[in-house]
Amino acid sequence: MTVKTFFYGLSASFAIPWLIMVAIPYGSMSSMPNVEYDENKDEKTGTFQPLHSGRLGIGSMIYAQEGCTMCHSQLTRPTYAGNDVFRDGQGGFKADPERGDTRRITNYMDFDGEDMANIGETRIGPDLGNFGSRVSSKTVEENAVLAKELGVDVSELGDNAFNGELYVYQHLFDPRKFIVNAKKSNCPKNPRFFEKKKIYGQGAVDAVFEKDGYQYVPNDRGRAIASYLLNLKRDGDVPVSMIYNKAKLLKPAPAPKKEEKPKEGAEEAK
Amino acid sequence: MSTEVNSPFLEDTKLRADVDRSLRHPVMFFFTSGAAWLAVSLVLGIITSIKTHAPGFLDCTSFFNTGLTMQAHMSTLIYGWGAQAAFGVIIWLMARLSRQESKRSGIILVAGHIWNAAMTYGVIKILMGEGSGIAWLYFPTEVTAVLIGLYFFIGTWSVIAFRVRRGGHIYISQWYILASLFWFPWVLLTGFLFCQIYLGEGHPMMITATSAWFRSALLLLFFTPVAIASAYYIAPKVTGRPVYSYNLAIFGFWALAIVGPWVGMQRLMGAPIPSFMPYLSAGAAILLLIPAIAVAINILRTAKGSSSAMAHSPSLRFTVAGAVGLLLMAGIGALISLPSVMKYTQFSTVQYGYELTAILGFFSMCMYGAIYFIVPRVTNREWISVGLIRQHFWLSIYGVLAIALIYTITGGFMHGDIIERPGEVAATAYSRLYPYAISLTTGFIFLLISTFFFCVHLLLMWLRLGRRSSHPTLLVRHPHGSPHGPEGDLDKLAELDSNLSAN
Repeated sequence: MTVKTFFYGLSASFAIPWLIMVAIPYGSMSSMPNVEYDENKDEKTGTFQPLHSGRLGIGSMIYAQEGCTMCHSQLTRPTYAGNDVFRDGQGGFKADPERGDTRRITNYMDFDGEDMANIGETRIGPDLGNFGSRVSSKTVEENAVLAKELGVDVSELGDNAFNGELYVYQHLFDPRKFIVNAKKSNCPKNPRFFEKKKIYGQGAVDAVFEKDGYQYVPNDRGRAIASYLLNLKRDGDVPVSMIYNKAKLLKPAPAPKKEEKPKEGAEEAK
Repeated sequence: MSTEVNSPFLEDTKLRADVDRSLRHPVMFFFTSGAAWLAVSLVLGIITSIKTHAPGFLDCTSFFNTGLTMQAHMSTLIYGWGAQAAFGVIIWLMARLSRQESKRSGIILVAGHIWNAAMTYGVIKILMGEGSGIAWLYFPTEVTAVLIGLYFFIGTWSVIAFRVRRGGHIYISQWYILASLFWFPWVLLTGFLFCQIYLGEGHPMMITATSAWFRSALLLLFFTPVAIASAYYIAPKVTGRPVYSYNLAIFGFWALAIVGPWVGMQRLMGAPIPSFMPYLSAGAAILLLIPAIAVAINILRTAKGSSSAMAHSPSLRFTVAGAVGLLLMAGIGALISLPSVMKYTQFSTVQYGYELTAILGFFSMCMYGAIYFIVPRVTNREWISVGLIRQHFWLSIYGVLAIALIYTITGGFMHGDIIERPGEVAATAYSRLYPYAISLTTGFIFLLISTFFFCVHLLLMWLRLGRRSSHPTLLVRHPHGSPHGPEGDLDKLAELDSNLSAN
């Protein structure tokens, strides 16, 4: 083997997979086409426009920088790759009171607005791809229970209503202190997301902890990651062309009646 | 007459001594600072591991949060220990095999210092939550840029040494080193450009996919070839026998070169990327068994029959352990990449365990073998304590076995099984993981103890406090005196040199 043949062989053996696995997909996926609804299958027309809100860009970056990906995934895989869609609350809910069966696999539009897809390293903690949906669901559940206890309508709960955002802040501040049934959580405390401020008047509404005339309120970094987490809602309707197992999901289960018993909540919401 | 016969041999001996002397400080710097970073990495690994089974540990500050210490732990393991140990072996091995003294040792040494300074800054930034968050590229962008730049100041001289090499034959170790010198910048630049510089330009999913490819490529196309180059040098040198099969060595090389760059994307099985990518990678990960078996057979067959060398030589012992580690790495890699198994392993701790097995069980073992061979030559002193070498070997073996067999294989699959059950909640998976997390902590503690004394041993050797003897430090005392004859003194070599000059 001469040096010349060595380098030709080395260049070819590296460049071909580099092009096929990295460079070409990187370029081609950087501008993905819009997905159109099919009138026959979707019973509507137009372009599918997934809704994203919240501070996704900066929130996603903080999420990655803090290493949340080490324990939390954000991927609902197709059935050939795992049982994710069968875990209630991960890819959506089997029987959402409002929307029926919202379960689906993760698609390439779910990470719009983020610099990178935080699909995660391990599942030492729960999958967070639909964390926002689970908090919304928990909010509805908690308010329903509270309203029943107080004998009032949910709309009359006022300040007593469950605050999903505060729930997230408390989890970030100290998951083993505030969150009921989370004593076994091995999620770390994140004091750097909060700042200690002297209490003036009634104090801040989003303070997570008060002690000796001071309270801990979320800083910009804490607000950004909470906004990101609360907006992780990757469930619901997508065009049929994006559904992996069309045979099963073409006919979604009808939405249950309003008076039906509420579904079981998400795992960390318990 | 005698002088005529021995002159070429003596000239070569003098040349090798000159090569060793020229590289003493850069090589010792890379080895010693690498070992120090390995100790730091293991401390961070222990903190991370303890927090898995005792979450309240060190939680008074965010500085040691699991996600942060994990990133710092892997960064120090890869760029602190791995890269620096590899640099030390590359520059020495290439200079020795090319019979070229280093004329740019000062530049390499300065680059090494800046490398360590940049790493220190990067680790602090990671722990402050200001890293990049991208797998195996956790340092901020500016640190990665500096490391890439420094690589050219460190690696270029080895390419030049090869270009102006003496002698016609090119050894298999040289092919591997050349390939690693070629792959490393390409892989690192790909990760740097696609995942850090153009972050936000590409599709978020492809950023993640590229980083998955990057970490695999760094492992298989940099750490692996350097470790194999070292093994192909040490095994024949210590046993005094040629490599078992040169054709098998060439075959193993090309099998790695052809299969290695396809691996990595299997970690994105089921993710919204073109579906051929994870499947191709999974197939390639299984095919990696071919080069691994070829290399391991070659190394083990070369060492076979030299039981006395195995018993005596720490270099050979570590190298053979590294060859077994290569088989273990490829075996675990193939097993967890089977599409039917991926659903259990994709998000279980087995992936982290696989990387630890690869770096600590295969790469590090080969590097230890090389270091125990190289250091006495560049310092012109023999290792001080056979006891320290022996404890280093056995504690490393115990540590790697605890990590590879208990944490990775058993724990990884137990964890994978529970997270794949839809009805189970995260707390159950955490409970299932608990005993295996303790085994990881135990493995790390074994490794930390051995690394601490290894680091001290290296430092003393760099200070030239080693034994002034012509006898190597062997693990087993020979019952009938030393196999190298009566005890000699290194000063005789100096006399030999002066005689040669006079002649």
